[in-house]
Amino acid sequence: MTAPVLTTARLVLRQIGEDDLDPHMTLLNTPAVMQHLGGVQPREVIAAKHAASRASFAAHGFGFMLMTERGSGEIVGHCGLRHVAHPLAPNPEDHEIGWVVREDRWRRGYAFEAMRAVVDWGFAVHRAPRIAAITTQINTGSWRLMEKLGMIRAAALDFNDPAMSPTYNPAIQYVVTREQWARGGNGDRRLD
Amino acid sequence: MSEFRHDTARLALRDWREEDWDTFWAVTNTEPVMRWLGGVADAATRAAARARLEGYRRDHGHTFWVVERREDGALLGFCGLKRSNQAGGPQGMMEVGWRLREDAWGQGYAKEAAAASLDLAFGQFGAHEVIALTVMRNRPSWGLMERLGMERREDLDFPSPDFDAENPVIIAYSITREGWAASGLAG
Repeated sequence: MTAPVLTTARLVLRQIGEDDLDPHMTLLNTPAVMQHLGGVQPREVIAAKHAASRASFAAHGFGFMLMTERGSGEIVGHCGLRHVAHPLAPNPEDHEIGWVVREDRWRRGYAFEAMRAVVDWGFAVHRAPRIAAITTQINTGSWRLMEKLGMIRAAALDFNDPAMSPTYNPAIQYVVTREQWARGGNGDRRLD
Repeated sequence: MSEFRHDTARLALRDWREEDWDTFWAVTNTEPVMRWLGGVADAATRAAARARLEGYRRDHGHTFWVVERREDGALLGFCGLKRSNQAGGPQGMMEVGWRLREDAWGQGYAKEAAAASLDLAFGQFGAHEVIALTVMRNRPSWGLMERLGMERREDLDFPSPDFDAENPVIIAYSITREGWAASGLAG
């Protein structure tokens, strides 16, 4: 078990260890979870994601993490912050957040809880000027959460990914700036 | 834009002025007032709160206004209307809120200001429903919500560890235009 990076009311986000590939394959690399992300991926692809996350942490101090449940200790998701990863995205200078949640933990607000903490962390600790999130129009749950986080549709950043079927094109983007976040945004707020 | 001002029997709800902020924090950023609001606010939190309240005014035409006692011009705190935006909670609903200095408690000022805010919500600002948010252990807060005729809305409750770690839930009340008209409190 690697050290916690971020803790929220119900979740701990921790770095990804060498032992995490099997549970990731079993719990998160499922047809339902991966439906909008190109489907179930080969083991090597998930292993490469883990390696990229570790490299990102080593280089920048942030990356993707495993989301674990404080109560049970179980792995319930994969999420985090990285530099925009897609090679065809027009904004490689931006930071990007992303997430998946285990199917039997959907509809509990875990993604919102985790990503609020990740965005706070990105702005406050890693001094990101702007944070983006990439999804598709048909992934309604995904962009609704982006909107709930206070992110704003940025159509100028949309791009096509020829590797994905037409149903999943174009990739669409939402962004939030540090100022927007601070203004609440979803920053520190005292019911005001 | 012209300054917003709405007078009640004893109070004025009015726009913020530059010179209000130091006074506001001096009289309300205290342990008793902030007990259920995340504790005494540091400089960054105060700056963010000011930016939000000024932003609400700019974006929606209403905010949590200054509550001023007409008799002596004393700044008692804030009360007014925003669009709900608490992280994790209902977004974009008309929301009434208040925060008064401790020595102004117990004199019906909050009720007077909140009732005026509800009149404004349903009148000038066209709301059909207004919510209010608090935590379970802030009994004076939800007590006033109930005395205003607001009803408990468990369906709008949401988890939040920021205000009461022992009971980390923000609880919601609401009132409809019809409910307010029937409350006997509408102006």
